[in-house]
Amino acid sequence: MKGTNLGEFEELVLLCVLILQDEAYILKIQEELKKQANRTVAMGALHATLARLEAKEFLSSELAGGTQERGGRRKRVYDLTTVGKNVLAQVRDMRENLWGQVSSFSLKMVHG
Amino acid sequence: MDSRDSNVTPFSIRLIRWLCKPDLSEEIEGNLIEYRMARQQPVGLVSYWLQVLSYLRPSMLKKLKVKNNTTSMFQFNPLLALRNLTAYKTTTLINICGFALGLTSAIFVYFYISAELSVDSFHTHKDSIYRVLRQSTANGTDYNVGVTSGFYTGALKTDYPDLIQQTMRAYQQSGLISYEDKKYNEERIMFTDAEFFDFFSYPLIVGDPANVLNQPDKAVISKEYSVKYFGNESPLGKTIQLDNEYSFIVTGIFDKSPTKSQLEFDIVLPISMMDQFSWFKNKWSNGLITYIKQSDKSKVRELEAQLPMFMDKYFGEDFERTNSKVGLALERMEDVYFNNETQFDRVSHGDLSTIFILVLVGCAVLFIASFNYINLAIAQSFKRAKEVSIRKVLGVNRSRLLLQFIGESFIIVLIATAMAILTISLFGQSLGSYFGLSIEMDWWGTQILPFLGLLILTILIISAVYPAMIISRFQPIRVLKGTSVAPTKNHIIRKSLVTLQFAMSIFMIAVTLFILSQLDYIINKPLGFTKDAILLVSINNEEIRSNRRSFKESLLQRPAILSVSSMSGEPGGFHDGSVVEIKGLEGTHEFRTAFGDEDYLSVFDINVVSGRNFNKDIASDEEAVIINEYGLAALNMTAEEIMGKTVTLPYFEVSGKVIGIADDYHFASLKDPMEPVIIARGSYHRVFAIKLNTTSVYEGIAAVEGAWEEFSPNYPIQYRMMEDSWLELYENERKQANVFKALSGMAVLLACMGIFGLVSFTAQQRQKELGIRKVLGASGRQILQLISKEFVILTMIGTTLALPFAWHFMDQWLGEFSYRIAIGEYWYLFLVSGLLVAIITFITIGFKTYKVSISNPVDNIRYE
Repeated sequence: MKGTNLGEFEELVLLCVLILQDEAYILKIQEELKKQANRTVAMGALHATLARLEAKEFLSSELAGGTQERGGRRKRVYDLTTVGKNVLAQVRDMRENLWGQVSSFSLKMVHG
Repeated sequence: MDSRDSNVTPFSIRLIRWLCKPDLSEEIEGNLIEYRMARQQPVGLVSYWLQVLSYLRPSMLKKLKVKNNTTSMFQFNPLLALRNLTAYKTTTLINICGFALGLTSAIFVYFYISAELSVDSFHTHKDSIYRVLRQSTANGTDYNVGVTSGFYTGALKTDYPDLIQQTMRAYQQSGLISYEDKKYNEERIMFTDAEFFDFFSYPLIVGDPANVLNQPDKAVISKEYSVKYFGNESPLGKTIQLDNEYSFIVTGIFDKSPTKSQLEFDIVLPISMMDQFSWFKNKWSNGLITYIKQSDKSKVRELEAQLPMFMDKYFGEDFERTNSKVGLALERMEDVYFNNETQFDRVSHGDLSTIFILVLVGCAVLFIASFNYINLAIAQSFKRAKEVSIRKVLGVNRSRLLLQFIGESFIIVLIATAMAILTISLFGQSLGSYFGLSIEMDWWGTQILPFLGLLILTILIISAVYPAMIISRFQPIRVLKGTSVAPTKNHIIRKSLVTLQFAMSIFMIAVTLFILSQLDYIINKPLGFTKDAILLVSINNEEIRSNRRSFKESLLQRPAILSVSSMSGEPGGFHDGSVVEIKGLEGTHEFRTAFGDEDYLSVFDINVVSGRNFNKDIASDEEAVIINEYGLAALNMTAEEIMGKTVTLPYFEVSGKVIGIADDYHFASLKDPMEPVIIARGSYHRVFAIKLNTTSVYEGIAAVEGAWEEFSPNYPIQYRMMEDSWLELYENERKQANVFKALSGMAVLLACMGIFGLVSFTAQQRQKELGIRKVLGASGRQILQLISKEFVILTMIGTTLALPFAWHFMDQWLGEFSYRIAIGEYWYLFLVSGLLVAIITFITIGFKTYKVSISNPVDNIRYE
């Protein structure tokens, strides 16, 4: 099974899924990524990432009813699993912990 | 699902459905449709296709593995093919090597020939360009002369403005080119008319074709020479000097032409600068090449009809004076390259007979490789009979079996092709230089890829289809019952293929031996003069020309130098033809001319058979001439009669008394027949022949260089050994000999590999029989004889088959030579070739059979 650590892009995707809630399917996620993070990503690549996250059990999905604009094809809507939510929280905690240890001086150097 | 599509399914959707996993395709299709259709702003086709293509990734694609195990034997199975190929390693290796060798030679030949056949094909106006030739007659035969004088273009254009669109002159010359401290003797200088780059289509990369050469002091140089003289600097505006005297400003650069060309040059200078020389305006001078352009074919014919009148108008007086006639002819530009018949030609030529030979041997090698394949495949088929029968019983139909066998051949040919391409890419260049053939390896520009495709297809058809048909025709019941599977018809086919292979190998060996014998003959035949340790030094500047006498004196004082003579027309060099008039004798005679100082005959050790040689101390000898015995015979006179007669060469304005008769020496290559030669003194000598002490050739060369430094420090010395320049006369033949040597070796090797494979199978098949024979008392030698007897007979038949073809081929080839070996006298070469093949075959067979013959019969018989 794939490792359970979280890549930067994977983190972005998980967050977008969270934001989109019930609307989280591939086209919306793609749009959201463009809008929020200015990331252009091809559908195939995104699809592969989503599948990978699902394999890592951070996401669950189900096929929802087809609409006219999709030519009647169903779409796959994603939702975060508990594991996924935990991982996101862990990442956030770790970041905040790390940021807390950075002295304000070195940060100024970066901004200066 | 399809019913819900509003219109025809787009290609992108079908692609996804075809390639992607079925359980993913619905969603992917939906995503794509929504992406394309239901956006606020329309999406571009490019970004849509990017999305589509981004889906074609391993995680989305269908698995390629054939899952169903029961159907695999009904279709082509790569794994099974590979297993069969690895099971019979020797056979596979022989086949791959054979095809690889065959394809390598085919690709090599293709590259060479396609370059040769496309010579000058890049000129936009190639269909409307004609070269102007002079037509002369010598000893009753007409011949064309490639060089003309500068006079023709102007007169033709003035007289026939409607029939000629444009004219062009090209004058190739060598000279000393210098820029600052860089000085090189350049052979590839060409003087042309100003519109050169417009008339032809040589790729001018810098400069305007209309005015790069419109002043007498402009120059255009090749990219290569730009680097040679100016390094990384721009050559434009720089001044180069010719012969330390004439300056030219570089105004343009041209690139290498896309294909080879009849004109070869690296520096183009305006011909208008030659107008200052009086000889250049002489109507009878020669040395330059004249072209005209006319796109209308009917006008060309009209012009051709006018040419005799044109010649009479301008040369009528000269014709009367010299009692001879010269015509003009037009030669299509495309015909120039392969027309070797033209005399005194300064354009480069190709050789159709070399091309013909290459195609011939290339095909032969390929055929031998294919025959090997057929033979081995048929031999192998008995081994595979059971496999095939079982597959048939299980319901495989014949076309599937055919597919399997042809697929296996295809794999072999594919591997061989890859090997051949690799070999050519790595070693093509060095192979080319070994054979003395320049090849350009352009994998994309030429038609090489379609050619290869066609070649592979042909090989497959020749070699794979027949064995595949035989194998797939086996009747399962007979095979599985254990009765004979081999129809005798196959034996005949196998035997005739082997015989053909033998015949081809023997043909090539015989031809190689004959070519080598002929080369040996012409190189060792006494020529009537000595060329050993003679150094030829070009008189390439005025300093040395005007000090000819004192240079010679200075050379003679050095101990390493035995004798010196200056001349124009050394044996093997250029001997202009001339009409000769003899006082008191009717009519004129054609002689070849040589001009040299008093030591001409002595430096080459040419015997004087009657009369005397030139003598430095007799002042009147400056006017004297010597003719050869052949010339005497042609005049139908005796030596006494001709002696003291005054002889005139009207073209050269030379006349003098005959003082001696020289032995017939070969003044030209042995391809040419003996001709009458007249040796006169002349004054415009081109070369020194310097006889060095054979034991101290290097000291001799150093001494010559030292003397040259004293007399002509501003010009680099140019010299060559006479031996070498004599060998160059047979360059083509030596090239062909090399090609034959290599390819006949290859043919024999391939044939032997095939025989080795065949014998292996025979030995294996007859294992039991041989074992029983041994038990009954046969010796190892008898068993060897038993197996090889068949092949010895086949070799004999092969020799008989090859003989008439080789004979005919050699007859044609030797026809080029006036002096040649008689095939009948060398009949034993055929025998030698046959024996050679027989011996090599015997060794090959022995190698394999030996193992069988010494093996313990118990092991062989017990097996079961």
